[in-house]
Amino acid sequence: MHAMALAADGSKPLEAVARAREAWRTEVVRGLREMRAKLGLPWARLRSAAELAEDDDDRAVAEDERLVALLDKGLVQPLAINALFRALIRITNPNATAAFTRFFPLGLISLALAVPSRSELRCSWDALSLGNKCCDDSLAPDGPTEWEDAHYEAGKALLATGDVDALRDWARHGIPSSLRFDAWLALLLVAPSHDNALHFDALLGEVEAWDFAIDAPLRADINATANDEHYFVFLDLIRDVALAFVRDRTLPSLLALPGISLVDPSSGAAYPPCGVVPPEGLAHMIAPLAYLSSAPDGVYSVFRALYTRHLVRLSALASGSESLLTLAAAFETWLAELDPVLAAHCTAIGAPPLRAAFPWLVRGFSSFLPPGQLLALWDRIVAYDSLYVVPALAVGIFTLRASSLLECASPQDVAGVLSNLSACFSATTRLDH
Amino acid sequence: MDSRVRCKVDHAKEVIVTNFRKRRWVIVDDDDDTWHFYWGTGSAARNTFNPEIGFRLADNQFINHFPNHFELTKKDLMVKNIKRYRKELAKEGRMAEYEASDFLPTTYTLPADYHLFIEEYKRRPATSWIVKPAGGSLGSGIFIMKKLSQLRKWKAQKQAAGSSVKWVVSQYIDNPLLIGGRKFDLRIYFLVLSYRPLRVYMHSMGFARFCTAKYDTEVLDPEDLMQHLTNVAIQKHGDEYNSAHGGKFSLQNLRLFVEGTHGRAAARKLFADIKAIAFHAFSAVKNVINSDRHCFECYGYDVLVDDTLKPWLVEVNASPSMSATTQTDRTVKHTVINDVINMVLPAGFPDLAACKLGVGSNLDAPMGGFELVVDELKDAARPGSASPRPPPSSAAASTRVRRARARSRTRGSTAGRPSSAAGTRTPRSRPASRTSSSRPASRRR
Repeated sequence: MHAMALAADGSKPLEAVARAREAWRTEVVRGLREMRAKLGLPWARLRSAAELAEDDDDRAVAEDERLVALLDKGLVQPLAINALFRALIRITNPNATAAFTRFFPLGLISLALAVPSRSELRCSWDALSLGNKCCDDSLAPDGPTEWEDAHYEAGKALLATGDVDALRDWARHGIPSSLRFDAWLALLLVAPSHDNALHFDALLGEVEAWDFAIDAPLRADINATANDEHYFVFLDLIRDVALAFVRDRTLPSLLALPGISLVDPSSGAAYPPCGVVPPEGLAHMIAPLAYLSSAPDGVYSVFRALYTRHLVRLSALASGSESLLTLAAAFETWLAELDPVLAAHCTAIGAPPLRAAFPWLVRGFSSFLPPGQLLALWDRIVAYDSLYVVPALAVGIFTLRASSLLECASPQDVAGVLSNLSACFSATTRLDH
Repeated sequence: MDSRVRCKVDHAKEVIVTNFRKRRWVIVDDDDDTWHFYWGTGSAARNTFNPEIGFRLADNQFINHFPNHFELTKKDLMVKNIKRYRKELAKEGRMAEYEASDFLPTTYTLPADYHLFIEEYKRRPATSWIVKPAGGSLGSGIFIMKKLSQLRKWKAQKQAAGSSVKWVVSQYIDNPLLIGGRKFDLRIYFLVLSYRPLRVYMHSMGFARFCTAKYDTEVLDPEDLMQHLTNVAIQKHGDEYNSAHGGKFSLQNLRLFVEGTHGRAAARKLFADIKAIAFHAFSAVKNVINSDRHCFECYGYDVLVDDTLKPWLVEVNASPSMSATTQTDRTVKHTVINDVINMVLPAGFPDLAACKLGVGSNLDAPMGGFELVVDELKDAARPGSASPRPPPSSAAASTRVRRARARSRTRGSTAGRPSSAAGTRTPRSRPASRTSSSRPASRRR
């Protein structure tokens, strides 16, 4: 099993985590099998010539209608965030006695995991400290400052040289929107090549030819972006990229952490071919990239690199560094250190902070921040090559809203205070904690 | 007597009333003239200034329209005024400004210019034309024509009905910038505090309004207004209208998209050009409008962007819709009105003596989402800011083309669109792309 193999840093995975992961895998697979049985579809089905001859639009309409009918009957359950949350907090260490558990007993993560200390972060994120300029200091279009102009020109020059290390240093101060596509490609080590376009075209061919049972929950997820004021115009692009993604056989070898997939008993191949059952919210992770380029193959190349290198970790139960487990633990640890009263209050009223922050972490804040802010956050992930900015922002939001949160008396109150995050971003990206 | 502010609003528009309530203003009855602040319709303002009524505004009474705003907001008059303004610019040899003010599609007034139009029509047989009532709104009475017979038939109908309404016929911009394969136009709010000196501010909370249907770049189907007209009033009746977002997309998002896909210089130029449109349109009427110091006006500009990123002025609304269709819409409109009121009111309002200097006399007023377009009052202190439009530098243009080239090299043919015109329109998308897009979403609702 993947999970028992040595992690990349040579460490052995924790047995408790490996067991939890296996239980989670079983749960996911069982859910998928049930869904497939209810749909009455094979896992993968080659569309007939007659179907292919039909008008594209008519077929899309028919598929959408079928899906809506299934949704109405409650038959399609996209891989739910709630189930992942339950699986995460179930993990316990059987060896832990009161003497060995974490000093902070309020958290939901009961394993004692090493997370970077806040002072370590402060050192490595020095570019984000107050007093250093960042190019998204003012996301409002007040017009660029001299510093922003210079930063832009410097970035353009670095992109031309292809010096990735220097580009990374530069990117730590933020990436102007107009250079983001090229900078992300460079920092994610994607070589711009015509092959990327060919690869994407081939995948679209497979989307056309093959009907996957797993498309049903994915389509439900995609259709949710049609109701989003920031992304509704990009629905076709998001659909193409998402459906191509699950069919991409080159993905499994690229995944930073192994995903959960099934094995097709007839062929022995992974299903879906991308090696990871798409998590709920996948379409919303693709959506912000529609602002980077209007070329679908370009968006696909960036998403593929970003997902395999970083985003896959956000829904991975693993003991390696920067998995969902360690990010959740980092969130709880930092918040408890920074504001133990706040953490204790939320827990006492039945709203442990991780419960509210969990969807933010799993989705990397996609669908919780407007696209300009979200991309600025993801700039940091790409530039620092680390996901710890995600729990750091979550902690920042809690401390920013601390006074309101301390007045809350119920989980509903907490949800109300944390329902609109768009005003939090600029106040919290600068690390003053 | 009650010292609170008394205010009046014609149609109890929710966002206006909530703004008044938040300020704890007293809303007076329709027939009560003792208001300090009046947010009314255009005709209400005309009546207020009608000399026959004999009503004189006191120093502390402010109203949201200039009496003859129709010089800008009636389509035929706007065209006449801007044509005249450009003629003057040409005569004075101000060629840069003459070029910069070329943002109106070729337009004729019907029936007066019918014969001029026929000549133009014959000169440009490939052009499509859009016919609109000069004073209409909400997309009523609009149609798109390619053949002259359509116009003749329509004209005969109008004559038979004895209609004396004026119409305008304009060149139809058939190469709009498409996002996600869809056409959109922009609604942008400009606040005029005074025409002489000219004081104009633009609000950052504008939005793009998208058609629900995909724009067909190959066949212009004049019957299918769903892919041509962006008016929410029209789109609302479509099957695919989505009530979660109402087809509206923020200006910030548009800018983010243009920066990402067309580059920084192109985005900057687009937004500078949009400000320039307002600057020139207001300049064109500044000498004919009665610049009364009791008046201010928040105009809704409708701007169409073509695939070379050139913005075109479609029309100017004096009473942009303040009814809200979505939560975001409500926030936007509430904020715009709040910012307008802050900018407009003199310090010390409604004290009679404090209001002597009129609208916009509080130079320390918070600007909220407004940014400067032109303020001739402040220009004395800061010379040079009167020309909002940096001349489109050749450096900027070449950057764009370079980017476009670099992109098409690395990403195939669908990449950044070069600025040259026809032929480069969005290629009909790949076979796998769907045109049924938002169906499930709208059906579920």
